[in-house]
Amino acid sequence: MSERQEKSARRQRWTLNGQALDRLLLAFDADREAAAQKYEALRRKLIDLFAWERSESPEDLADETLNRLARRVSEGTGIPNLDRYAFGIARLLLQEEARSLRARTAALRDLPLVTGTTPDSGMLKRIRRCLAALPAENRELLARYYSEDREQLARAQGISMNALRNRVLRLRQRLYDCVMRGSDL
Amino acid sequence: MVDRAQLIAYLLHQMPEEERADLAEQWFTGPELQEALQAAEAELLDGYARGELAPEQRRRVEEFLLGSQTQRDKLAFALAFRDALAPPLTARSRRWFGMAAAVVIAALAASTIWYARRAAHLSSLLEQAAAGRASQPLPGGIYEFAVSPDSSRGAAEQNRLKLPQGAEMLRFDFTFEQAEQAPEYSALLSHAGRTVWSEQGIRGFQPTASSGGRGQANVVPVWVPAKLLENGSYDLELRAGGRLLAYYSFRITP
Repeated sequence: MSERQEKSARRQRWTLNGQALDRLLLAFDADREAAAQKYEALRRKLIDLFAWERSESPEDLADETLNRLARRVSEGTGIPNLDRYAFGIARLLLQEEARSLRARTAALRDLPLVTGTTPDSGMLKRIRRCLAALPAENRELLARYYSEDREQLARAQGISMNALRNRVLRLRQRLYDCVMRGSDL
Repeated sequence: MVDRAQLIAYLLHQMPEEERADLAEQWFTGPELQEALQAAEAELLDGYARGELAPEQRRRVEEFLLGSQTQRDKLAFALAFRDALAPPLTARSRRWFGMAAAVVIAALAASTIWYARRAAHLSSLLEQAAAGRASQPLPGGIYEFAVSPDSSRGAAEQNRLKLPQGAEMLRFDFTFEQAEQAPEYSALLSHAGRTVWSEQGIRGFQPTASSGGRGQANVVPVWVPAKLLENGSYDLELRAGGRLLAYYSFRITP
């Protein structure tokens, strides 16, 4: 077995266990709850990174990044900045994925341009439920932002266009978190 | 300082790769840019869901932002978000890619030989539209109504269509300037992000002056089976050589 194959086999043999996860959480923060939040924040950041790099399965790659990070931590590697280190691992994974995609000769451009999404009626119901939980003035602001002249709306609200945009997008993000992650508004 | 244009350029892969890699590291390891990127992405997907993006931007969203289920879930949210906010929407005119465009919609009730009849009826329908006789029943179970160019690119809420009883085909006439003409077109109808119908090899024609034609304009008739249309929002795309030429959102109402 070549050194490269051995390294690859060792990598595949390693799996995340409770102890390694504990060490990783501890590396994030001594407070368990704060550590869990930081872990989740990093995971979301990784998902965004992989999604914006056109990965086919951003969640899987984010989890693989965290597994590799946990392994380094459990092996005692000194990591002063977990985010920066995770970014380095993610970049490597992106390179691996790019190599693997190049190896697959199936032309991706032959795939349909848009493979479609299925916003089931359940999602619409969840959005409506989350919208209903918003204060009435916020609901009205969202509805008006997406249907009226935005400059006029900003003037009517007595704020700049940029402030209006930020306010609406923050509301939208809260709604998104409520719908997709079940978080409270 | 990273501005919004740069964020969009990052998301749509419109900046040099080296610069993009630097920005990736900057947002990933910094405190604020991720939220700004998420906001820029949300605006792009909202614009996509509402048919407000320019063709090139729309194409890039499809190419760079809809490649994984994760991303398609975000679009599903944007589509549902659009529908959830739909009732209070009021019409707002938008441009349609800067092209002079007009859409005529016709419903055909006769189920037989509709295909053979289409050319024969077309000039008559265009004449009727040009004469402003919209929404008037015509002999033979065919009638039509016209949608103004300004509304052809707007949100579905602006373009509400009520299917006539017994209608079997709906015809959408896209009118282009000469510069946008192509030998063949393809059409794709989607509902809630899913393709429900498509047709290849559609040919355009130049209407005669007597039928209200506009000089060098080209009309592309797209016939859609009415049975596919249930109540809800639809997007009809017209493409040529893989390029998105026109896009029309409408809503079928009871």
